[in-house]
Amino acid sequence: MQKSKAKSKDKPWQYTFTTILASVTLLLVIGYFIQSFIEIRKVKPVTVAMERLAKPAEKLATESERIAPKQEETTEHTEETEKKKQ
Amino acid sequence: MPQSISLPWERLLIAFAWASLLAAFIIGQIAAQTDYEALLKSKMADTELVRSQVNKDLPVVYRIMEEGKESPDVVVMSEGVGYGGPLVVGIKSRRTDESAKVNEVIMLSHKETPAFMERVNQTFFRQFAGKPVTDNFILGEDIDAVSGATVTSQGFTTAIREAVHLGAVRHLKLKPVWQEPKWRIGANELILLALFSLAFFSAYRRGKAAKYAGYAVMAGSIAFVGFYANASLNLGNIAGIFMGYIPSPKQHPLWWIMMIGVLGSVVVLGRNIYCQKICPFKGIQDLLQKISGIKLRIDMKFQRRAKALIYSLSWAALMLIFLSAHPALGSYEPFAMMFSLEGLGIQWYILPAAIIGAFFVPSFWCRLFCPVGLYLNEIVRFRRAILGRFSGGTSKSSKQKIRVKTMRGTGDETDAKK
Repeated sequence: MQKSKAKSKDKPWQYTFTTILASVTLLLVIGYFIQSFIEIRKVKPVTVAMERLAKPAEKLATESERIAPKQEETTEHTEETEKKKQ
Repeated sequence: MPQSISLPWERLLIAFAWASLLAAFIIGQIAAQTDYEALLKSKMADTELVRSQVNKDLPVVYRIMEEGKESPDVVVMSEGVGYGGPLVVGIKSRRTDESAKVNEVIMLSHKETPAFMERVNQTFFRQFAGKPVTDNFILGEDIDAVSGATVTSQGFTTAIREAVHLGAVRHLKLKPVWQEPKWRIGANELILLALFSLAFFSAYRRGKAAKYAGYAVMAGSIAFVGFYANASLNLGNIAGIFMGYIPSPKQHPLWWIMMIGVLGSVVVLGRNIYCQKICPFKGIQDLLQKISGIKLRIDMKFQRRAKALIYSLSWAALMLIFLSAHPALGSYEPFAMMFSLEGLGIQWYILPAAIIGAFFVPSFWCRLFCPVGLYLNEIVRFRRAILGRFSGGTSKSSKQKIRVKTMRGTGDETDAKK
């Protein structure tokens, strides 16, 4: 056991090899981050968040109910027209 | 973050790291608020939709208009929780004389690994088409899961079922004749529980029985946790918890067993059972080591900086995850690729690099790149430090013991002994 440990200590190439291996893996991981960053840029989270913060809270709430006021308008319109008819 | 702070610039760097993570988290959460109508319009740009006022909350129903007139088609929007986080679907249904049928399921938003979603898109949604809204929509009964994406399939099925059934009751005034999914512990959950039991047995006992139990856990974790359930813990899982992406125990009991087993062993018992026994990627690395028999050493300069390297990588990964509110985008670990053979772009090259590394260096990935192992070991150290304080401080020998115990199983035994 001690002999094999001593032998492994005497091999400087193994450090070079493992460092290269680890560096290549590290570069690939960094490459993956860049790939993900490009994906995220398509969504533009910072811009979207800034836009949402800039918008008043009321506008945000009505955003998903854009169609609802139209229905109310039509009902009001019919009531007015009915009154006029009478 | 690193504990041994000595220089002021290091403190500044750590403060910047925490502040930037917090900012990314807040920005991501604001940007990720779902605008359901915008989502629907992005997929159905040419369709005129009118929102029904019956439901203010999800599931929201939109009537489809044709030339100003109401058509028999409606779109019901619903949200579920998948493996990566929330997912939103639109269910296009057509009214019939007495009931309604599902026409099409439109996937509107998800946080799943893109490679998995390709498979789900291809096969999974088709089985819903033509089904009456009064069907059960229960995974494993009238709906088949996509193999290797069970949690995602369960999330979509639950969202679709809840939307369709609520729509049927509230809009069509139908009486519920369908069955609700029952809470049940199946074979998968029992296997995971058995694996944890065996892992604890092999960790706390000595002798031949414990040794064989260790081998059984290794084989079981590779086969079950890895290839079958693809449920390895990764950074995305941890970040997902912070973002509130927690599946219900009914929907995903495996996730809960895994989390309770892993965190319970770390917090209650003070041992990182996951990295030592359960992690299937560690099992693969150990297997490769046994095959090769080569144990090359890593340069000490590199080894010493490994902790800082993992912290830096996990900072970058968390920034990406928090900004996008998408756990799969930042998880750089090759686990999902290893066990499902699904990956995108550069992900494919990380896996062979990690495997080649493990062939030559014991626990190559765990020692140099794995954030989960580092965090779990840090929790163990933190716990012991706290307990040490309460019990009157830790002696030098007990500190050394802590170091050896936490590092065992992650390939750092030799460095720990030094």
